[in-house]
Amino acid sequence: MSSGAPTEASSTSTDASASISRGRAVFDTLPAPITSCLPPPPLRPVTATLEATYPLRLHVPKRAAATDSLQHPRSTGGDVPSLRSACQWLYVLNYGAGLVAGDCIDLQVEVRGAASALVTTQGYGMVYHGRGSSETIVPSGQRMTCRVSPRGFLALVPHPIICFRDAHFKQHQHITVEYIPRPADDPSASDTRRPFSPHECGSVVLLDWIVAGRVASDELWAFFAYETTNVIHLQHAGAVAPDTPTPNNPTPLPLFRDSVKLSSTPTLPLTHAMAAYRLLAIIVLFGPAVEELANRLLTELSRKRPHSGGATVVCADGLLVNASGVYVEERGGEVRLRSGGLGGAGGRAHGVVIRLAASEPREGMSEVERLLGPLWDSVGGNPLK
Amino acid sequence: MGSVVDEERGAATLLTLLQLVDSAFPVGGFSHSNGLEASIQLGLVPSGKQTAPPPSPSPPPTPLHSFLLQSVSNVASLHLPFVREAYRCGHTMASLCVLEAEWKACSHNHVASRASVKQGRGLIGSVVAAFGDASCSGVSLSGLDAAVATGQLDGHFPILWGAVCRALGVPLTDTMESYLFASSRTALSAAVREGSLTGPLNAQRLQAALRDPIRQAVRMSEGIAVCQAHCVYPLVEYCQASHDSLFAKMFYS
Repeated sequence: MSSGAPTEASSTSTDASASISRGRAVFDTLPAPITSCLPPPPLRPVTATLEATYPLRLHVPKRAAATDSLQHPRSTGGDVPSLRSACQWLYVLNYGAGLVAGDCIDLQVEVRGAASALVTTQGYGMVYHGRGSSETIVPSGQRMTCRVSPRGFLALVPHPIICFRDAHFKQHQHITVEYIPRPADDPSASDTRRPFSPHECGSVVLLDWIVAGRVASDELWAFFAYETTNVIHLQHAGAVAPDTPTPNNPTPLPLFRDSVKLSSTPTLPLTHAMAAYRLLAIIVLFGPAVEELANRLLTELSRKRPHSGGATVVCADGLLVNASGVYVEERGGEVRLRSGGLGGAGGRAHGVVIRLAASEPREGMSEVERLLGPLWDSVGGNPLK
Repeated sequence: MGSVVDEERGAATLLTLLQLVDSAFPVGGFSHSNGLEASIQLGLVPSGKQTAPPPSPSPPPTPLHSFLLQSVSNVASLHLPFVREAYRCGHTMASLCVLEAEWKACSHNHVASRASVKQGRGLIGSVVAAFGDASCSGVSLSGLDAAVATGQLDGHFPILWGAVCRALGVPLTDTMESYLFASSRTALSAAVREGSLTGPLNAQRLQAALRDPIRQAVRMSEGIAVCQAHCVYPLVEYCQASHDSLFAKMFYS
C-alpha cells in the first residue's frame, strides 16, 4: 500500500480562521493477475493516493486496511455486504476538531477498479459559532465530490454534525455511481421494461446526520442555519468497455437528491418545529454490494408498528424510523427511477432511503449503528464506535 | 378595447382556475391528507380541538396551524421550483421528461411520491375530459395525456400542474398560489374528516389565515432554482414517509 503522507503545506491565508482546504483521495486496485482459475482470486491489493492542504488532513490507517474482512464476492451469507477488496478507511481530520466560521473543506474521493473505501471522522463534526451578529454570520462549508467505479464500493459514514449557537453550516455531497450495462446481444437486455440489472454497478452507503446542538448544555437548534444537500447520480461508465453499446441516455440519471435547510423563523422557531426530536439522520444504500441489506432493512422498517397516538409529541420509543425503496428500471438502454415502499415497482429494491429522527441522540445513534450493523462486518469494523 | 379583451381573458382564466381547484374536480385530493394523518398518529400534531389562530399569529401557533405553515413552507421550497419550471419549460415534452426525472430523485419519500403520481394522473384525466385539447401554449393537454398513457411521463403532480396551467393559459403566479392553496386545502379537508382537530368553520378560518403565508411563500420560492429545491421542516416529511406503517388509516397519504 502506497499511502502518501498527507501534505501539510503552510496556509497562505493571513486569516487563520478562514481558509479553503482541499483534499483528494484515490483508491484503486492493482490489476488482477492473469490466472486460469475461475472465479479470480478475491484479494487484490488496494492502493491509496492522498493529497490535502492545511488544515485538512487525510489519514488511511493500516489497521482498518488489514482486517480479516476479506471475503470472496458473493461467498458471504445473509445480508452482509460482499466487497471485492479489503475496505480502506479514510479519516477526514481537521485541526481544531471542527470548523470555525469561514472554514471550507473541498474533498474529492475517487474509487477506481474494484476498490472499497469508507470515509469517516474521529468524532462529531463540530461547527463553531459564526462571528458577529446575525447579519454578519460567516458560513462554514464542506463540499465532497465522489466517484465510484462499476466494481467499486464507497461508504460515507461520518459522525453527526453538531452546530453550535449561531453557527452557519453548508454542506454539499455529490456521488456519481458508475455502471456497465449488459451487452446488447445478451438475451435479457431486451426492449421491454424490466428491473435494472447491469453487468457491473458501483455501490454506495451514505449517512448524513445532525444533532440539535450541545444537548448537555441545553443548546437545542440554536444555530443560525444548517444546509445540507446530498446528490447521487447513476452514470453509464461509457468508455470502460469498448464493446458496450452506446447508451441512449448518456446524461447521468438523478438517483437521489435530498436537500434540507434548517433555520428558525419568527413564526416558527426550530425548537418548536422539531418538537422533542434532537437528532435527524438520513441513510442511503444503493448498489449490488448492499442490495441484500437494503432489502432486509426495507422489509424490517416497513412493518406496521404501534404508535402512541397523539398523547405525546414523540412516538412511544422516541424514535421515528422509516424506509423508502429505490427502484431502477431499464428499457433498451434507458434507465429510469421509481420510488416505492416495500414491494413497490413489483420486485426487489436496488437501494433504500432510511429516515430517522430521535428524541435522545444517543439512542438514535445506537439505532443507526444497529441498522448498519451487517455493514461493519465487511468493512472491518464499526467506525462510529 | 384592449382592456376589455384582457378583462374577458382574465375572467375566462379565473373560471378555468376555479374549476381546477374545485374540490369537485376529480383529481383525487379527497383521499390524501398530505402527511397530516401520520403526523397526528405519530404525535407531531397532538389531537384535540383547537381554536383559530389569533389575528396576528404569535409563536407558538396551534399544532394544526403550525403543521399547515410547515407544510406550506415545504411545498413552496420543494415543489414550487418544479411547478414553475414545468410551466416555463412546458413547450417540449423532452424538457418535461428531464424535469420529471429530477423531481423523482427529490421525491424519494415514497408516500409523497405515490400521492403525487395519483393526483397527477387524476389531474390530466379530468382536465382532458373537461377542457378537451386546449392549448394556449406549450405541450397540448392531449400530448400530456398521451405521454402519461405511454409511460413517457410518470405523471407527477407538480410537473403536470405547471404544464396544464400553462396549456390552459393560467398566469404563472396564479398557478403557484393555487398549487399551495390546493395542497393546504387537501390537508385541511382531511383534518375536518379526521375529526379530532377541527370543525369545518375553524378549518376555513385557518385556510383564510394561510393567505398571506401562501403569497409570501410563492414570492420566496421565486429565488429557488430546481437544483436548489429543498425541504425546510423535515419532520413533517419524516412523519409522512411513515404513513404506511400506521395500523389504521383513512387516507392514502
